[in-house]
Amino acid sequence: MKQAVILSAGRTGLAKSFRGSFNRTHGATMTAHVIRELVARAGISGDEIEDVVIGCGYPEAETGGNIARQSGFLAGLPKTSAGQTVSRFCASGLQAIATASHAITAEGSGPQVAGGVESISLIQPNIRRVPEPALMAQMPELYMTMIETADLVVERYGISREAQDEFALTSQQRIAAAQEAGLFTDEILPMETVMSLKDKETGEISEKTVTVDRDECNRPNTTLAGLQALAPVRDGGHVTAGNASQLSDGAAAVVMMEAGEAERRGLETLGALRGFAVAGCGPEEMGVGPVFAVPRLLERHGLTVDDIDLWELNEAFASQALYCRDTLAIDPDKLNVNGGSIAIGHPFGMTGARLTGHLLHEGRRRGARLGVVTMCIAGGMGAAGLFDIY
Amino acid sequence: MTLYYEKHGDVAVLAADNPPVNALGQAVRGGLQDGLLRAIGEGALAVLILGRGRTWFAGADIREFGKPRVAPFLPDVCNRIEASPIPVIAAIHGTALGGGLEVALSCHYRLAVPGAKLGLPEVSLGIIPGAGGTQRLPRLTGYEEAIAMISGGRPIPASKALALGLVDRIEEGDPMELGLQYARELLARNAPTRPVSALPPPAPVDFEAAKAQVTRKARGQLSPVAAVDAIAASARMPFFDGLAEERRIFRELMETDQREGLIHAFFAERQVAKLPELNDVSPRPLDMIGVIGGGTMGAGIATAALLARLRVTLVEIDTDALDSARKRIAGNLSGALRRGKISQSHHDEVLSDALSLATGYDALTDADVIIEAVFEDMAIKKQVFAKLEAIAKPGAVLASNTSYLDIDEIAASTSRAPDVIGLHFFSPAHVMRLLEVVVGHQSAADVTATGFALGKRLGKVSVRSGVCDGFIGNRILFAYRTCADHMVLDGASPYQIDRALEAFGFPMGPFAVADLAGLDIGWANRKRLAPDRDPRERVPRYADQLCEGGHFGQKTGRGYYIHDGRTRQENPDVLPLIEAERADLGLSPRAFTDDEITRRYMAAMVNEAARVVEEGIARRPLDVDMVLLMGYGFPRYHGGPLKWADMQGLPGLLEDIHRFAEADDFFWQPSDLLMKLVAQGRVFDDLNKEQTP
Repeated sequence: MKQAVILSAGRTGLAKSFRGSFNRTHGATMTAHVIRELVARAGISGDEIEDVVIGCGYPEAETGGNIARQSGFLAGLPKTSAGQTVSRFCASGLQAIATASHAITAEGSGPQVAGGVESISLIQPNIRRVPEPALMAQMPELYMTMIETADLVVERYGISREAQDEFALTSQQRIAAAQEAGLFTDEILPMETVMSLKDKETGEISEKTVTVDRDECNRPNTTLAGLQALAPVRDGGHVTAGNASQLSDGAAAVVMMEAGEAERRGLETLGALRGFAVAGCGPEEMGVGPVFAVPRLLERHGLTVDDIDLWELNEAFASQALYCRDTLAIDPDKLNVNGGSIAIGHPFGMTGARLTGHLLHEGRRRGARLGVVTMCIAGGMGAAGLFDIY
Repeated sequence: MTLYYEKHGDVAVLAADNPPVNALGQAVRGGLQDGLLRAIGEGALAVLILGRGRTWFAGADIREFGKPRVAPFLPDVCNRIEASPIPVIAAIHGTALGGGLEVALSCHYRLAVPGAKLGLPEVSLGIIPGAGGTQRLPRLTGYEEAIAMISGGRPIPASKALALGLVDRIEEGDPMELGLQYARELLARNAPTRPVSALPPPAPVDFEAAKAQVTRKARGQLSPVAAVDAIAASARMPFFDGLAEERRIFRELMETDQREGLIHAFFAERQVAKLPELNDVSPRPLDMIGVIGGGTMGAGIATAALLARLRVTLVEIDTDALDSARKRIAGNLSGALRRGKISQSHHDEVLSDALSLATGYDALTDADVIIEAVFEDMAIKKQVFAKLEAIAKPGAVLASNTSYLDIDEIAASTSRAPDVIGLHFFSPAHVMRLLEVVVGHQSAADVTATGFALGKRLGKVSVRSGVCDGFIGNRILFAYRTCADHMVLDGASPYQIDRALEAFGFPMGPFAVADLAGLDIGWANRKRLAPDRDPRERVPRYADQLCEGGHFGQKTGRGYYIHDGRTRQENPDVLPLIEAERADLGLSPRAFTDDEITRRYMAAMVNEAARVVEEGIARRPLDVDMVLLMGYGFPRYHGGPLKWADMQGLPGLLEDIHRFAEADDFFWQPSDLLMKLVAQGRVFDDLNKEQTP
């Protein structure tokens, strides 16, 4: 059977939404930057790209209008390279990689770009939410906020505040240590952009040209006491700003092609997507999705949790990440080894592609053979991708 | 493997296989959780949970008690099951108790076979359900029934569970087949998941009134009352807040002495019949039981044996006596029938076939075990054993139901000493659960084993006792009863003493008990012991005066109390008798606080109990605890006198005894064992552990 290998993987740095470096950067600008750099790194020509698949949680406005097609053109890809936008909320970036892989393996497609983008800065303030009235009556939990679902996981599965804060602290500490050691230089593609600055005193807006060459959101000086002192976001809730992922902006992608072709050309490969599975669960506990998706994925490949050398489990909230980690009995030393979204942020559509790239780069450093990227998804789902790491 | 996963078409079956009772140990909990994830991963459309072997999950794994909790925790597993996106069906057989019922409550559909029993008995261990039982059960049954089930702790049959809406259907058959069929039916009609937690709480009841009622019945036990608080939380809080409240109350109870006492009693009940001396010893046959004497005791013993489906031959001196014996037994059996203990057919069969009555000892030649329950008099007992020896088949066990006589002396009067043993039943013998198996110096090991086997067959809690006056229970009773008598002479009234001890948790104080048992018993005993009495012993006379007036307590309507049906009031003749005696003795009465009464009474009990252990009459402290719990109304939530002593602190108890001895150093002589334990900084329970492999 054919396999889709990954030739290159990378991303922008992550910038804090609203006040960070990407606060006025169009989605296509970020995505095109990543595509341009990665196609070059892959050692193939841009006009070979058959399709550009970009995941986005909210594919509208500055990330709408089939953002994949816009991004391809902006990146200098020819008119003959097609483009599609996919949305599976928080797992959109991972879904894009699976979709591209399926085109290569099942359809015999040529090389593909797959990735994800999210500009929370530009999109979220203007979102129009329109629940379907009958569904709202029948299944109100489908329209719960994500924080509410995370609080419910805390209550339903007795996740202690202490454990959540400790998990958050670990995420911060691991990211800080990895930054210190330069572990993200392989994957971050520095990008120059223009941001808006608001003068705190006068309220005056000015522009500034900045280069985003690292993740900007994390707080290396975080302490447990500091986390424990934070009040819950919701009255009577449990989740705090410190143990939830931050709002941030960014784009990430990979370049993929058929394994045999890559081998014939002697191209450098990072890894291959071996399998992908999704599973649905109650929308009210959307954060636990991975506990259903991962067993499904592993079962199909005859593997157990212990066969996996490295895990990237998206940290939407510490509560759900802890529950998934412990329910699946994943060794904490193999999970999110360089921290995660709680520290650096979670641009919904982008994260799946970011986690994939990081899994492949970090997996190579530590000699891991098999890795899993798994994510929870709004609406009550889990997605999981199994990767061979070269 | 403790939890099997099988796929039957679209239905994933999670089958527990953790003999003997599919307890919810860590491996089973983990298996349930993993199995559910796997089922959904594999695309199953429904999950069926059941137990292999003889039962559904019968409860938590008691081996995990007192150890650190290990994940996954039951409340989380229950919530996991309930949150399943596909329907989960419980097929229940055997017993679904405690955590087992909580798992069933977290399933979406529940099916039971007719013989199944369901319950939340946690209060009997001093705690409350901790995995959502107090929040989910009322949502199905309403508050009244939920309070009855959780605070009462008694399991209910499947038929009642159906009527309460706790199970959805009852069917006869194999749980797997029935469950699969139910699952397929549900799938065919596209049945939704149906989480109990999503149901609105039922109409609230007057929880304060319910709590007051439970408090009265609980006699000082905390857990049934706390259970009402937990249940009431479900009426005023969202589900998950209610769960947190249940958890908070659960944790609070875990820290109480009552929980420790009740868990001790639970384990002691399971340890008490396990004696190293009986390892690998097979009991003798016990199919055919002979009983000599058809009075209250003999008829009670015969009834107990008949209820256990043993064949019984009862011997009395003449046909009139036999006729009364038969009437007593028939009365006992019809009581058992009325209370639903036996079926009509069992009842009829027993009276017509299993019971034989005879006036001659010859009828006992086939009996495997012969128990005499004749008058408590050594000379009469010896005559009976002499006759038995002549007719009993070789190897027959010859037992005396004496409550204090010397078994060794009886045995020595026969040529079959190894076959002789004491079996001390408590009245009424077909109701009371205690059996003291009194082992003489020459009793053969397999005769002792037969005593225990018989006890087990009769559903009794059997405790090994060595030979001494009164054995374990009556000997200790004599000590604390004497202490009560002393307090009366010194100024306390019998009524204050009864009230103080009833507040401690005894169902009746010692004077009310004496009225119930009959004052003539103590009177006879005092007469028996008088000739050898130490001159320093203080024995009151006023009780004898009551007896001399023909007042024997409840059976004559008058004793310490005046009895009218079930009500009692103080007998105004008693205090003047006591005052007169104090005057005769030149004693000036002093006031006692209830606390001092309890301390003295308990110190006397513990001190004598320690001596009973020290002398080897009881092998272990837990044997004493079981005797007092099962036969003497000691409140189970205090764990038994020696467990209670451990929890109070032995040094303080010993200090009390030393202080009491300043006024009476004859009665208050501290036990060597108690002093030794205090010196070593150890407790009685350490001795239990030493002797439990």
